[in-house]
Amino acid sequence: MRTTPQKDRRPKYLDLLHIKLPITGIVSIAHRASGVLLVLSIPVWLYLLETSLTSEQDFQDVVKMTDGIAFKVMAIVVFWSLVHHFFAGIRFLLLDVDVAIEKRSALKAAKLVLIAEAVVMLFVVGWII
Amino acid sequence: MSWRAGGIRPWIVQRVSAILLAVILCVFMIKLIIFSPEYFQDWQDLIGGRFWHTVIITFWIALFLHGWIGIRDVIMDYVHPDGLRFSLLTLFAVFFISMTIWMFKIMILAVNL
Repeated sequence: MRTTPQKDRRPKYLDLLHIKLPITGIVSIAHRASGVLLVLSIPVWLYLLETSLTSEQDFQDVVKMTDGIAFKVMAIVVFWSLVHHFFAGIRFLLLDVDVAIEKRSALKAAKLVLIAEAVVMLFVVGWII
Repeated sequence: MSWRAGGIRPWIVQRVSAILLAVILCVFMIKLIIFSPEYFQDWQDLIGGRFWHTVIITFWIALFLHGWIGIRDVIMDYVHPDGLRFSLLTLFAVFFISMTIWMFKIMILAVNL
């Protein structure tokens, strides 16, 4: 007996170019992407920490290294990930206790995450540059 | 949800470690901005001192658990072929263990009690 002929005919909306993600979805996927990036950046931070703790000369070398343009670009990307992960993470923790779980308040909270993130990033970029 | 590996326990660990990481990160950043060490000795005193040394090791343990659960969830959600999934999980397990050994080596050498 054929059981699921209609299963194959169900439309699949997985065309990424035609999916319009709501702001809550953007915040969510960016939370995952930023998390992966943060994990991948661990060796860089450990290397800087180890070198900076080796000697006065090495410490000053790290200070000099962090003055370069390549480092600054990387630092901005990683700090952006960190700041996004932080604020979006707080939102998810609040969702766990049913805060801002309704559609309208959820959209508002997601917007608030992006606003808070932008404000903090202004300071971070100013500090790094 | 089950209380075994795939269920609610990692979910709780992820949340508890998230709170720990967020709090320690904020306090450490504030400390760093106020203190802003310019010389090696100040930096070494800060990291190697009893208080921050303990805080940083606590932070690392939370980071290890949080990072591993997060990566594990992402791999299990997006990577479906068994071989590739197993390889990636193994790769990241080795990554997290190596990073932890490295971190503990750094912290042991930095100790300044």
